[in-house]
Amino acid sequence: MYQVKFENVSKRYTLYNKQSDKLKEIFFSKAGGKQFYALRNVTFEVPPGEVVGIIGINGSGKSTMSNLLADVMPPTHGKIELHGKTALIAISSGLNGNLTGLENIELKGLMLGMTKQEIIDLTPAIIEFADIGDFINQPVKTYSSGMKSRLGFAISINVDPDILVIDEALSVGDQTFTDKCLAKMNEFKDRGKTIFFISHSVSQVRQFCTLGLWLEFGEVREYGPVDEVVREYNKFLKWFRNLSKEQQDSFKADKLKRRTTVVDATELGETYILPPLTEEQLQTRHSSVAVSNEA
Amino acid sequence: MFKSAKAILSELKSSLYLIFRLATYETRSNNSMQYLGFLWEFVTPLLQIGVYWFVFGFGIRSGRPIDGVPFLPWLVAGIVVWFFIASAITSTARSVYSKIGMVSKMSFPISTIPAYVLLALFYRHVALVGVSFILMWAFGFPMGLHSLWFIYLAFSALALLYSLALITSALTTIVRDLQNLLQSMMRMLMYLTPIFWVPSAKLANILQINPLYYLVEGYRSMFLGTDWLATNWAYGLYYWAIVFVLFFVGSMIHLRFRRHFIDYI
Repeated sequence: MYQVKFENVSKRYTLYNKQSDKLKEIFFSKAGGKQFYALRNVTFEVPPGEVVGIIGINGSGKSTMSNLLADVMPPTHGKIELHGKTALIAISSGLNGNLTGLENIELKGLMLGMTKQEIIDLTPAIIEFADIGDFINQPVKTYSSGMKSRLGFAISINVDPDILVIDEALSVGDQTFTDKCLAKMNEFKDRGKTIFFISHSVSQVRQFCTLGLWLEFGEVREYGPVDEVVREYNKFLKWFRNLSKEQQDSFKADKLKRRTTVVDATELGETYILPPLTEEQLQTRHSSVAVSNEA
Repeated sequence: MFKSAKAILSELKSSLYLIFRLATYETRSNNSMQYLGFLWEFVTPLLQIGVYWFVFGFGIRSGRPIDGVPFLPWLVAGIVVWFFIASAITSTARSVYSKIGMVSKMSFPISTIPAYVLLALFYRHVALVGVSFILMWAFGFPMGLHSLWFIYLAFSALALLYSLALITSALTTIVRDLQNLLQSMMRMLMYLTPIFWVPSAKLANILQINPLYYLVEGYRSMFLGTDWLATNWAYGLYYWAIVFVLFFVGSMIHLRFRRHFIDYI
């Protein structure tokens, strides 16, 4: 049983030389310009109740991954299956600066497809969690960055998603807020929901996650229990740092060449939102994990 | 062809509450920075009318009435809808690419974006029409049964503007330059519709190809209480035919490109 499944997922961007190349691509669907794969043939499955730490150096496709997971954009090729609602928590959480915090809560709720009643029911919990006092009635542009991310986090976590994607969002809050978030996420974990945690902080990933997904230049380098993946990742970092400047450059150039090689697929990718897993399905998950542990 | 039109209609229908709420926020967010806020929605057009009255009424026409109607009420009756048309065409064209950042899900019905932007402008329009009714009464053209035409005209204007918005918002997202072209076109069209002057019968036949002509003359007839709308029913049919064609084409373009909108930001 899985909550999230990626099957040969690629996300391609075209590096256009001229604006007009863009038009050519739309109307003749012939790709002009250089192709660049932010993600290339990514395949993995995540069972419910796991916390997946996504790690990788800058430019390895982590942000693209979070956008695909949160259903912000479709993949170019391949198939993504998501069971239930996803919520994305990122530092720039798309709040409207001209509106007050309270208005933003409703606006965001509407954008997430919630009904009037659902929004009314959730608002007190969100205000309590964000804990920004009287600022809730002030325009968001007067907020500090910490307040903004707290409000964004409070909204996303309270819409009760089945899949939560956290993109570097914890780095701005103070320790008490971070603790509050971690507590909330642990509660999520216990309820069998799936969390993706994207961070540069390897220690945070190791402490909090159960699985590790290591992205390297748009491809999955390793996926498995978090300790193993982090160990290998640290080994790689050490090895990479010890390379000479030329060796580093040639390593990168080599990877870049792979990244600009066109994938042999023609069908357009699609993201499928499937109904959330039932209690029963979540139960079978627990038993299967227990069995595999014994084995 | 009918399938995409139907898809858009059912999307709009199921997101009605969303559209109304978002339109409210759109208005609120637009006015939040100013002290006079909503009052500017009246002050700006009235100042503009004053300038046009001076230039065209006194300067060019030297105060002569048109068909027995003094120039000022004639101008007001025609120009009020133009303020709505001009702002709606330029803002809805921009709507998708400027608002899509707010949309956090692919499953969000993007066709509601031009709809709520249009609705926010329509609120303004209704308020301005209300003020115009008072003005027209002061000029000696009181309200009456003929004022009921407003309901039909407002609906006709919304239908045309939304259909156009489906096309322009999709194309502008892909090619931003269209925005500039649209702006210049609207400025030109202002003089090619009978807002400031009366075209000769021959010229009118050509200018009537532009469906906006129908709206301007329709509003004028509604304010002044003439029977233009009733006698020109055939032109009305032409107008609705244009609306349907634009809506079908717009729905197709919208559905064809909407998956890619996010990639063009």
